[in-house]
Amino acid sequence: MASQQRLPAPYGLLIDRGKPCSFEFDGKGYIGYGGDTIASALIANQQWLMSRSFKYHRMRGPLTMAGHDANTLVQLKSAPNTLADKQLLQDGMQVHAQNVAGSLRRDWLSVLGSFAKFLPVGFYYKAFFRPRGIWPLWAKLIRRQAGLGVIDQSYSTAHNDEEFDKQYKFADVVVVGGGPAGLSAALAAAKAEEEVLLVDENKILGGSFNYLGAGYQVERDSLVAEVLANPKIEVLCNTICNSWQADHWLALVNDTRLHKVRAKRVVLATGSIEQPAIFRGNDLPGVVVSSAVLRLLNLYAVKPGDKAVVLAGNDEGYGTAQALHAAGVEVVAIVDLRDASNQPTIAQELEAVGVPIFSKSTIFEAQLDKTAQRVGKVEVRKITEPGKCAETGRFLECDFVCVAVGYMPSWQLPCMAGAQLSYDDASAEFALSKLPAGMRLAGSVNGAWQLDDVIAQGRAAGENRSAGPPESVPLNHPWPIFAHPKGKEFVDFDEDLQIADIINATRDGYSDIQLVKRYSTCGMGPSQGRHSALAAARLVADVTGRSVAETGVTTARPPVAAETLAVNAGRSFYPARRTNMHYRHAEAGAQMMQAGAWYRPAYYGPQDRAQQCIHNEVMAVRNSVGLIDVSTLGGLEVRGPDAGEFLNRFYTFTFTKLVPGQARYALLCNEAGVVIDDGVAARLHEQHFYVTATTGGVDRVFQSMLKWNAQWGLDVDIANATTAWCGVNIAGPDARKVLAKVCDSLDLSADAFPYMAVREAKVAGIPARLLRVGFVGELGYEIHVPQLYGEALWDSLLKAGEEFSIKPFGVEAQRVLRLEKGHVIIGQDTDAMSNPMELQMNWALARKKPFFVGARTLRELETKPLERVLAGFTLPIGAAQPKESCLVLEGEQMAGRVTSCAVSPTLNKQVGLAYVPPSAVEPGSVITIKCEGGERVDATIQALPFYDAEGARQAV
Amino acid sequence: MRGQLVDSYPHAVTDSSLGVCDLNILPRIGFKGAEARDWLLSQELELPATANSAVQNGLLLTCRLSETEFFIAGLSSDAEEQIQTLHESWSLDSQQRCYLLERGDSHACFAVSGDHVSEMMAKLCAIDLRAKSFAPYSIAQTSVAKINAIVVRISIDPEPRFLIFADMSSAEYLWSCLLDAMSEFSGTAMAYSDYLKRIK
Repeated sequence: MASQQRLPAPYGLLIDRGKPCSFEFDGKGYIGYGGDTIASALIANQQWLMSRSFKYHRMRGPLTMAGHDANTLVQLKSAPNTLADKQLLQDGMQVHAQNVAGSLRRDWLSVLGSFAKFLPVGFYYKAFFRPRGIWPLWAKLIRRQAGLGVIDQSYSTAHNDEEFDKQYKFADVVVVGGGPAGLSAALAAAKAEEEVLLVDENKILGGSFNYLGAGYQVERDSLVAEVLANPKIEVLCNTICNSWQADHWLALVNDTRLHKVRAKRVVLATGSIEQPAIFRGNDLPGVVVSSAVLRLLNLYAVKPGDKAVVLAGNDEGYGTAQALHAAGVEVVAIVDLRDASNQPTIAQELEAVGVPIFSKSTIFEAQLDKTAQRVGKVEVRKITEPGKCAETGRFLECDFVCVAVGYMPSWQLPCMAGAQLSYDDASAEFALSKLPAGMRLAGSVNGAWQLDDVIAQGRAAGENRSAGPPESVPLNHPWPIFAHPKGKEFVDFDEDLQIADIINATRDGYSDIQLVKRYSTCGMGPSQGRHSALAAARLVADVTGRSVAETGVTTARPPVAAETLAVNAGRSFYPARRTNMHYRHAEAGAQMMQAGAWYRPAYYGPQDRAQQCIHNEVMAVRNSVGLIDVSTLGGLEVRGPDAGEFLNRFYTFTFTKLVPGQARYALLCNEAGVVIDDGVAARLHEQHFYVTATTGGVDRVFQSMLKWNAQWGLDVDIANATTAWCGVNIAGPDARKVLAKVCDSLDLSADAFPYMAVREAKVAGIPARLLRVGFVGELGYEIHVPQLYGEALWDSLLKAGEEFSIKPFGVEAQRVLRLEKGHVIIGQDTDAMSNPMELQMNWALARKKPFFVGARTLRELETKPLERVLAGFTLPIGAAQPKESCLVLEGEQMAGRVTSCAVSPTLNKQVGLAYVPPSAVEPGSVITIKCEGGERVDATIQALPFYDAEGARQAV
Repeated sequence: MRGQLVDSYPHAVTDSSLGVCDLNILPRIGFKGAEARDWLLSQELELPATANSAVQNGLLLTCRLSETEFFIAGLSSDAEEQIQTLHESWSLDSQQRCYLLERGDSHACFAVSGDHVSEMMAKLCAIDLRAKSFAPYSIAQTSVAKINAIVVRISIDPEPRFLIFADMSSAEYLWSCLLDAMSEFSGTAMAYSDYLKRIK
């Protein structure tokens, strides 16, 4: 066990020294405290090296200590890519490095760094496609190297008592960021009687108050206490606002739960992102931004090291140096990029305690202490001009480097909302403008750095008003970028992109910052450009001779931070609809299939005997009697004085003259004359039609009916009654005999109840609507009963049919039966262009009607020659069976396609439907079909229907 | 009654514990049409004044879904006779623009109530159903667990109670969604007898 390097209280706001936690990192034991993150505990044990970089496998340690960089990604047993500076330490935790070849200490792939000049930006676009066909081999190799952690595929959230969930939250105002600005905003909004949701990504409220040290504790405690006591404010800590969507819809990720909020107003008090400086070795473990040092000291009581070099581009670096000195760290030097500090007093105080200040200087290179595996010394050189250094410098030994060169506002959320991020080249500062209505910024994200300004902005934003301009505080150095002849000055740590990579991207012709991003992948790693966007923009601006303002930064898109698949999966909904007879099907051994959300029996019997089961079901209908659940069919009640007129206009057939007790096929076209649905319209009453529609089409038909009726203004009422009714189709030569056993109140004779008639009567004591229809081509009755009686009806009919060997049949058998009859299924045998003439359904068009939907287009189409026709074809048993969408060929040219094909047990041959050229539609013509796998078969065109052409069996 | 209501479950349900009760077989009926309001008034039924609100008369809940559409639900099996009377009084031959809808067949009905009920509903529905936002006898015609649903707050108590009406063929799906969502708050299926205690 290594020893901990901790500072005494009041350092360590977040840790509980009374709760030691032992854990392992890469097989070695360490001790931390409750409240530590993995990273803080490791650094307390002088373990800075935590990961290897993505491309060159370079050593990496935390940069921000805020969970904002990818340098701390580690592997937990059940979670890859865990941020070590965010993940709370737990006793017994086992942590491993990831993306390592060999070991974390000795990663043999780190040799790749020596070949960096041979791996320039975009090299994969240029290198792996020659010789032809080589890419799959490279792909395999690259895939092996790509990716970071390893997913534990055996992991189950259920077994680990984890619940990933989604939930809506409701608030008038959402304040994002729980620092001084956010706290003030929340209180101001609550005071105005608005309901406030305050979210913060950290464990506790306070924001920068927490890590700036004990000097801010009084203000912090006071504001936080006031917020927590306010009943109008709900606080969600450990929660990141990961995206902004239209109308202030926010995705808030709280550990294992995604909260979805639509707010009336949003206040973003999200702070700023401290930027790294760019010099050779700026990625070594131990080189951190200034705020990371303050977090280590004040949140975790961790002394980052013994000897620090501070690189300052602003006065915050001096403040951090003071804090380090006070914590007992030797500040080896302050290296100031500027001529001098703006606060001479602080500089003098530091010099008085022996801290040398090298002004107008920079760190030219940081070098590794190979034993400690962290930075060991830095070379400091004088700056001769922006980005250029003297030829020689001095070396300073240190064990960590603190960088304070400037900030970028947290631009992601406002920019997702359409705000404009602009850069002032003179002050080197950003500003956000053009916010959408209802969004306000407060705090450093809005350029406020003095506490008074921050709080004033927070209050103003909470009260939904503008605040005065904040005092300008120069924090951003305009050019903290220093190229080194040997490179390794990293602009993007995630993707191992150096200065030369960005410059070379522009030289390859990608001068637009968006293209540079895509070509170089700069900003596309887990950090999403937090620490690279500004430097990349500066470099591109410099190389292309533009200002940074003209160059801009890359677009921000959700998510703000990486989120787990489990959170996204969370609670998902897959609606499932079951008919009232569902469990009777299951008991009968049905294999269920989904038709939209509906579950329907495909066939009854074991899967390995599917074809035989379907065959048997078909033959039962043809030879005796079968029963199918058709409850999923759409059911529409069309009622009112104009019901007949309405249907007359809506469907292609004539319905005004249909008398009560009669039913008629109903074909529906849209205005373009395309067939979009079909069904049967049964007239139950002068003012009442019961209309069926296809299972998948009924909602669209219903909406279409409402739309047209709104336009026509007829005196009619339309209701979608699909689930109010359960339906069965009893079909086969013995159907009447079976029905007669349970329906004695109705004369079922052919004369009294003929084909395409409708009756209302009781079946098995249940009030029912009976329709004589013939979809499967046999004597048949569709029986519709109130939904709750479906199972009772099913049971009664099966029982009544026992003596006739009644057999339930499923959707697959029904498809074969209807195909034998040449009946089309809308959506399977039709497409988005099919018109009735192509389907040979001219008979369903009532041309004498003054109007029906699509009539005008159809009249136009009828003046033109057909381009294709849906025709029946047959193939002998044993020939390759064409599947749906197999091509019909004329020579080598595509001339049509198959829409349906099945083996007909009745006819002992294959029967199918296909779109063919009009020239090939004559019965006896031969068409060539290219089957799956390329085999070609010659099929013979046959007139439809294939079975019972006279219709005698269904009209009996 | 067209079926049986669950009278008891083996698990205990306290006075305030979160629960869902299956009321599918309780009587329901609907009417719509330009003259539906007039016809219902002629049946001496008290009607809500505005759309998306409900009134409760004894054990009869009358929901106004739009200016011209009404959904009438029995809150207990005792309302069977009233609903049946409405059913029998209506006829298409009456020449009124009022059309009957078989809501007992088309719509499932579940009652949810108890501690954390609004929080639980927030896992399934985007509408703010908290007591302070969703007044007693308000109606939300919305999506619950991704299916169309009518949510009615049926109490004036601080902790709301809701009736949820949704597509009958999705009843089993919605039931499982509700149970799953309430498991976080130790919610369970609730027997009809426990439901009755809460509404009386």
